[in-house]
Amino acid sequence: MEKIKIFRADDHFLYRGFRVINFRPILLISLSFGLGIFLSFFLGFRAFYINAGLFIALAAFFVYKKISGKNAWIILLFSALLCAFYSVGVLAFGARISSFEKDAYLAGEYAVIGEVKEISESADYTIYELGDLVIADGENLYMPASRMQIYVYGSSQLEIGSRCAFDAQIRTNEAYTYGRVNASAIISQIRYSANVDPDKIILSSGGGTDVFESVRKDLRGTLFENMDGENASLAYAMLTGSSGLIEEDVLQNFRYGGIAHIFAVSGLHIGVIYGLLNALCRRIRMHRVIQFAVIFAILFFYCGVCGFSPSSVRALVMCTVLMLSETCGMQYDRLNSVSFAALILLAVDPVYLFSVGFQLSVAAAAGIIVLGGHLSRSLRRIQIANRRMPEKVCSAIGVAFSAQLSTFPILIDCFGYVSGISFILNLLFIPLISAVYSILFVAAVLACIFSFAAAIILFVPEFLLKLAVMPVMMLEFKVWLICGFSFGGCAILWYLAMFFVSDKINLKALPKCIGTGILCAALIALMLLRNIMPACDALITLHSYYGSNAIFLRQGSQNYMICVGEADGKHLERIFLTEGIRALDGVIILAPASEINTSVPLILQYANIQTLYVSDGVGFVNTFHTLQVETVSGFFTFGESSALFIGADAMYLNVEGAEILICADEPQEDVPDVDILLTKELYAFMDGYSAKMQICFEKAENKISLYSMGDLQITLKDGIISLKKSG
Amino acid sequence: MKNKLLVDVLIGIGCLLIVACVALSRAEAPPRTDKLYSDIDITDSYDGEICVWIQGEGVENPGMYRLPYGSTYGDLFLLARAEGSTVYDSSDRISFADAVLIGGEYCIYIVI
Repeated sequence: MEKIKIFRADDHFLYRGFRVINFRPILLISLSFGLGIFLSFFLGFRAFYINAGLFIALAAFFVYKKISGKNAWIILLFSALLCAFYSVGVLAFGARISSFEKDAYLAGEYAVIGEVKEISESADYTIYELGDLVIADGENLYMPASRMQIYVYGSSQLEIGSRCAFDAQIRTNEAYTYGRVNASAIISQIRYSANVDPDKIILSSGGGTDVFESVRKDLRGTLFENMDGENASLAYAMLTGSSGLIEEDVLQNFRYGGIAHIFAVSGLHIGVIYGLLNALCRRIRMHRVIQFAVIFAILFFYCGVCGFSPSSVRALVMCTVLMLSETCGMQYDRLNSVSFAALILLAVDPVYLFSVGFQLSVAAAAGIIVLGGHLSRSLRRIQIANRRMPEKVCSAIGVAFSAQLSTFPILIDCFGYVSGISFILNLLFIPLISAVYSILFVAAVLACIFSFAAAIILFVPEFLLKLAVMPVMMLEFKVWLICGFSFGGCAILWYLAMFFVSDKINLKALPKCIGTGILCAALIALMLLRNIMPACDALITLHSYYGSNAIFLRQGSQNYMICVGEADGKHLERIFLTEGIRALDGVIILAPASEINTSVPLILQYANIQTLYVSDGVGFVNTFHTLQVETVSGFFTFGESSALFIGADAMYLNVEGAEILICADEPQEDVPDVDILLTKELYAFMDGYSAKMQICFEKAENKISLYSMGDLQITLKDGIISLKKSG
Repeated sequence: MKNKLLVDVLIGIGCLLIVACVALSRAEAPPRTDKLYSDIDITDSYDGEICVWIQGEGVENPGMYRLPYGSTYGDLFLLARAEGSTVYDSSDRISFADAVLIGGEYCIYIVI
């Protein structure tokens, strides 16, 4: 006869009810799979050892439970299942990387034949993705399984399915570059890239049809023919997730305001379309099963038009699970649903774990699910003038705030900043843009079908869109940025604290407060440790990203920058925001005069420059009035350091007695022996040259390079040079 | 109870097989066994010294001296037993303005 247990509501001193946390198998399985991928990245196949250790610990737990007389088979079996998913995650990541790296590493001039598979446009150039490649130099022939991305400035006649030939300088994408997994290249299987002159492309056969590209092309044509260019680009981005046609300044202002996510087709968009279709199907009393099939097919097609982006697929899976639950009469758990969506995406491509789009999409959805409802209910309890806040207002605040909290660490670490005004803007702007989007979506579909009346159909949505985005277009949001620090591994504590605070953890008030306090204290301590630089004589940080190379020297409260070659604006902006730099006491640009002239205005967009130091041998003509330019020959003082230009492309620096040589090109004069050698790339003079540390910015065999390691930092203190990864 | 457990186990194994097939079906090469992440943490020492040649009429012990970076002319004059100079202020840090490259090293030449 089975024993019946009777629980009082407050039986345990820590929690109410039966358990602290509900058992969610899909969440645990997704986490195991994701952990396997993550640890495979850090440890390779040694990640399997952790698997064995866990299983041993769980087996010991099972033995204990058996001895104590409790049934623990289910625990052991489920733990074995988690370990199995973890192992598959480890294997899957290793397999994915090796598949990507299977094709030969090529660099140099090659003849290429390929078929156009995908096309994406930006304001300045068109990007073609070529497959079925044949690549040849004079001696070898390659037929890689992967794809090539070519950047074409100007117009070309290439269409989907076109077969073309050209000669180009090929670059090979690697799986791990600049300290990050090259997720976008791996997910798209783009192993090679090149810049190609449109006049040099030979078209050998015409195009075929890709239904999704045809729809995108039709939609693009309809919008741009019947709307103002700026509004058309915004509408196209909202409908397809392709924001390449929006002017960079406009798009950047959306980013600064924290509302650029409206251009990533995700839950907001899929939810609106689902709502419209659901209402329509109910109106015509469609059978539940047919309703499910029709709505799923339309949403699936829409995701295809949007290029099956991670955010759209995540939203589609969650929506499908919801529809299935309603159709089959099953209970719907949102946390299991988002976990299931994440598991599907990671199973399709484990590298999604390292994709910023995937991270933001899953984090936002999970954050809203975990914390949104709890926040809303808590806000409802607040009384103002003896009246509770309206439910919809509480819900909107809860959703917006929880999404902000859950995406905060990812945004700071990936982009270097978070908008301080994002919460307010999302609260006010998103409900408005949702309404505009629903009207725009219906109008766009009708305009594509009834193209003769497109101008009339799109008139009202264009007007509403223009009205809705007017504040964003008129106001400057850059002043409201939160930046200057990073989370790194501390993000785990952040998310643990969020989960702990939510109603998913069923603890009584006191233990919950104590637990939250401990987590917050640990988070603050580790963040301070991570972000506050230890005292040192000098700190040198090295930054590089695809040809843009910068050195920052910090001594005391002074900041100096040396650009090795021409700078890139976006890269510099990210550095300045991440490092919290708004002013530079001195700048040197090791480049020809023309590149100095283009780099200085770029730098001035993000930071004030007090003095620009230029070698007298460069032939630089000073046209800048907002900063002091010093043309120097011989040794000069660079902050507290002594510096000397060696020709036009190299310089010597003595920082607190540590001798540093920086080369942007092969030096043409004799160079001294130094402690630290920093070069743009591998040069001939480095054979036989000895320095305590030799660091290259770009790819260099058998040398430390930022291309492989990512950003580095060098600290000088008491006669010791320390080199490690930055951040 | 046991039947439910068995069904749950079979569902779990089924899901595992499906996920494994989806995740591993695209593998075109044996999986990479070594880690992708790379880290670096190295330290080394540097002497932090500057090379100075001093000579001239007022210098008792002319020759080459190695002083810590940031040393003043006064420190140098003391070591070299120099009388001092109207050109070089004793309280100033030794400047690289008079440095020349000799044998792979910048040496500062001072003549009093």
